[in-house]
Amino acid sequence: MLTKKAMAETIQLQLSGGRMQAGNHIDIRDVYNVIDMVGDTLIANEVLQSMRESNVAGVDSDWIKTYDNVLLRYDERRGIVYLKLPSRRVSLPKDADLRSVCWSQGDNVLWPKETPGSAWMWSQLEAGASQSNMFPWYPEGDQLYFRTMPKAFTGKKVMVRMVPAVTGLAESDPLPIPAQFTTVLMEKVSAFLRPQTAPAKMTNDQNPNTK
Amino acid sequence: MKNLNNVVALVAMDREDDSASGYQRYLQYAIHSYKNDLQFRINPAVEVLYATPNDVGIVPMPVDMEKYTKIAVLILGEYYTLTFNPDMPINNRLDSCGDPILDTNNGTCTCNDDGYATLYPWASHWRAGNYVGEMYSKGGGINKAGYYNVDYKNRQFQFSSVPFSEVVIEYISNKVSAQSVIDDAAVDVVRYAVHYQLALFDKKMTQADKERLQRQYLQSAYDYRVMKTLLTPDEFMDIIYRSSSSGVKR
Repeated sequence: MLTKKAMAETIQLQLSGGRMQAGNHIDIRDVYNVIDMVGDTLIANEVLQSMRESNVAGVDSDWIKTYDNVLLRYDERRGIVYLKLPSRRVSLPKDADLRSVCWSQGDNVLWPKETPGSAWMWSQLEAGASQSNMFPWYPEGDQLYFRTMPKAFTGKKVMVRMVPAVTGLAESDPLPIPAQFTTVLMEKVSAFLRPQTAPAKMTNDQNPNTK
Repeated sequence: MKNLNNVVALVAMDREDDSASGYQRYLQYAIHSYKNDLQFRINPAVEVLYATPNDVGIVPMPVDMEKYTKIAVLILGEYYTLTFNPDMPINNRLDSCGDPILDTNNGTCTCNDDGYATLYPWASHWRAGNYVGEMYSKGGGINKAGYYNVDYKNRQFQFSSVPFSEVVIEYISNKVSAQSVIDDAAVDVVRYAVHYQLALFDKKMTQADKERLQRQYLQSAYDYRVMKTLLTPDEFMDIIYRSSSSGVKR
């Protein structure tokens, strides 16, 4: 898969007319920033589209990545077990970017997803009672909290499936985007960075960008 | 036989929802239907749980617990009822080494018979296959035997000043959980009940679809009742023979 750096260099090459100049006017760090922004928007739009075509569950698997080694931590102040997500998130309705959480070898028992602040409701209902192998979780930003998990499980590893964002990736990381969308992303980033030129009818002598 | 988890999986499949986001909602509606359609609003039962607290004095609540009624601890062959202390901290902090910090005093008690004049009777129950017909415990009020607090958020009990060997908890059970077993014929009743409940509160669903699912649910509930109350051949023959006699035919 294409890495962030490879894509940025290709865009630089394209913008400089196919031959890199020593005095290249676009810094590669700026290209990274634009890839982050445009990439996350692209992911959110495409995933949303696939959800609209089916339902909340209908996210194409191309966009989903599985992390099978995510550490459980303990928040002493709040007295609750939590984990830090292995990737930044893209914004989707109903936290649909977070697909599933379970033990690394427990794919057949997915832990139920709750919403932040719903603990009071589930603590009063039978379905919210703790089960021995199932720990409901709710997201808060880039962290997931486990309402009923005993703190003795701190330090164990779990598996998280999610739609990862481009933001936060290192330059050597492959972009979490299906192959056919890399061209789309490259074109959008390139268009964003292309120098603005005034149309011919607005030509005046003071504007150095006119053709 | 199937359990409610199986029905929830069936509903998830019907809705093409492979995520776990709807699990608890489906399960709660399934439990609701189980209580209303299959058990016909069963009376809750009183259960007794024998449990061993962990190193920091915590016992998780049973899944089917609605409300606890009594908590006692076994000391030298006698049960002492503990007293509720809402001000007691819950042991849920760790130090930098990952070891638990004991906010609650966990020393053992020095109780004797002084001041324990009242005896509290317990519900009869079964323990490891043996029937416990009568059981009484002492204690209550300002208590040398120890105290407990209830952590509803994490559904657990916290104990203090008790020897962490065994505690006994009497509680009101709703007798229903994700593992509750139903017969195969009742699967569709619970399944369509969940679909109907979900549809009822879905603002995007059309009235026609809501009514379709309601009809489906009512029909399956009716079919189930008919099937369960239908006369067996034996019962039918009993009725025939009851009204026949070997006397003279007129």
